[in-house]
Amino acid sequence: MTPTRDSSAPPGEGSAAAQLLPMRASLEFDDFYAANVRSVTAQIYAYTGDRAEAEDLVAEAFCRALARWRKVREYENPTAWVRRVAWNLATSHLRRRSVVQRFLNRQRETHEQAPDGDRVDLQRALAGIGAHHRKAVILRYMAGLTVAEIAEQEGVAEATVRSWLTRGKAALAGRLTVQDDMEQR
Amino acid sequence: MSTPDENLFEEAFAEFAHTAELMVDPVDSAVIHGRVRRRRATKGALAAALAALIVAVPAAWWLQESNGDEVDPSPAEETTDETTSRETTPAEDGGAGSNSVPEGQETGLDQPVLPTFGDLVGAEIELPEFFPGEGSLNDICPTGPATISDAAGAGYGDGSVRLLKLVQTTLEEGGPVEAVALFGCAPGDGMLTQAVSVAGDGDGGWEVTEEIALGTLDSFPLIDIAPAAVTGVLLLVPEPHGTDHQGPLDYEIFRYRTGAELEDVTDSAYKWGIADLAVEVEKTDNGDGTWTAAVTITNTGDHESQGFALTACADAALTVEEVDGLPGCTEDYRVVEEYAALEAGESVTEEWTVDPAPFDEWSGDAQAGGAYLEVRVRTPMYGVDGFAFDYDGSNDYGNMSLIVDDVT
Repeated sequence: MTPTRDSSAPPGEGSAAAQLLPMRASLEFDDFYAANVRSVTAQIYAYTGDRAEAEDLVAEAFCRALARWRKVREYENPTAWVRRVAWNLATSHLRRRSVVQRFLNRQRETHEQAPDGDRVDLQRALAGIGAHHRKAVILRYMAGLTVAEIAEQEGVAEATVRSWLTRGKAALAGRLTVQDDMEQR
Repeated sequence: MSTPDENLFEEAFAEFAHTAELMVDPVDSAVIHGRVRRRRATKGALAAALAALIVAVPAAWWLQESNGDEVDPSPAEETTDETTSRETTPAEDGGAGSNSVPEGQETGLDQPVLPTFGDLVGAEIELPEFFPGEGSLNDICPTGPATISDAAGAGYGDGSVRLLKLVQTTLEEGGPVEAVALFGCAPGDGMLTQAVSVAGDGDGGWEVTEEIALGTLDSFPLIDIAPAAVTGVLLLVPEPHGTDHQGPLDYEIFRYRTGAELEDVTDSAYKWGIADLAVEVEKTDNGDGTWTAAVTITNTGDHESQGFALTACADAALTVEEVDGLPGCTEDYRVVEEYAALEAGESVTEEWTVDPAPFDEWSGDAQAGGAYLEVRVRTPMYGVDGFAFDYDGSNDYGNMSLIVDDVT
């Protein structure tokens, strides 16, 4: 693999039609953004459990996509690119946050609110399972990725993803059952 | 472990996804355009201010490297943004696959072209010799040019030149950000290494712009590199050792800066990622013909580890329910789980149910010597900005075996 500095002008550069290219690319990005931002944000929200944080992380991912939009738009799957960036940002962010959280947990008791519906049950159950398992389940069932696609995004073997999914689903089911039992009492 | 119904899962998540999409409130695309415009406008100013930031910002790191502070914050999180000009790591920008765009290769940037890990794998580069002045001895690790292989691949001992790690740092005060690569070649059991600075050659290829260090087996077994806190690159050098070495290795850390003598910073450098991951496997008879293998990995070192993988293999006579399809131990190990970092003293345990086949179906070797389940931890070094060094490899491995008395 050898690098190439992309200094050549795109076809038609200098012509009147070429003057419209940036505007066209901009509109194209806006369409791309509108089509994907909510679903990607929802996935990251499910992963981090913090809506504002998810919105910030996804905005950053789309900023990076826009900054190199001329390249990204040519990719076979620009959505996969921006989703991967968003997930990587979220993973890094969660890792930093977990260090702080571990410290805070030692300093104070936490008072969690009771769930007020199925959505909150699922969200709370997700928050209680391991990060890898949570990520795999969200990518599979919210993003609709196949095992192979998750493996590619995460850079792991498909067997690893299958293991994450099996364990993640079992852990989620266990937590949802426990919550149901507690509410019935 | 019970596995819930697939349809129920899909329905629950579909509803959850729908609700979550309605709940989130992403910014308008005009805000994204505005942020990117502002970043472009300030990019030049940021580059000019970089030298000042390099000196001024990572004060905690400076103190740590100079005073031996053992707090161990992560260098990647605390200093990378300030000590490099890139906006993100390659991994954050979508990995090293075909979709990644090496920083500095976009139109209009008047900066050295710095490679990503993926750019160098497969590339041909003229490297310094691994055996300087030794003539044809260098044929076993060809460097003129070397065709670079991925460190993650198999086949050690084949003499191919592998990219072990790539970090970005400044090598002199006020200097540009550079990409420092650690290349390795293992003609036999031992690994020869060299650290060099690599940049685009202006003609679509890559070239070595600075020779930093050459690792030798007998006196300077350079094993890992990391960006220094302020300026330079850190070199991790364990005591000379053979592949049969048992027990913990002593090590030294040196700091390289352009034009300066190597400085021993062992006492003051951060040691995040220098850890000792130890594996234990405990077997328990479940009384129903199956066994439980409890695999515990403990960070017995003094510092937080890097993320790591647990690999496993098993005799064909053993079925491990949670990780079905393990390869035989004469073939390979397979990654069965990946973990985030463990803090010093922290441990993680996996429990697997092992179901042995009837004894008369075991291979002759298994009947004679036992059927083994083996596990091993591996810490990939190439994806991290700090060190990734397990100084005691002798406890990275564990196993359990079943013999005739266990199954009859």
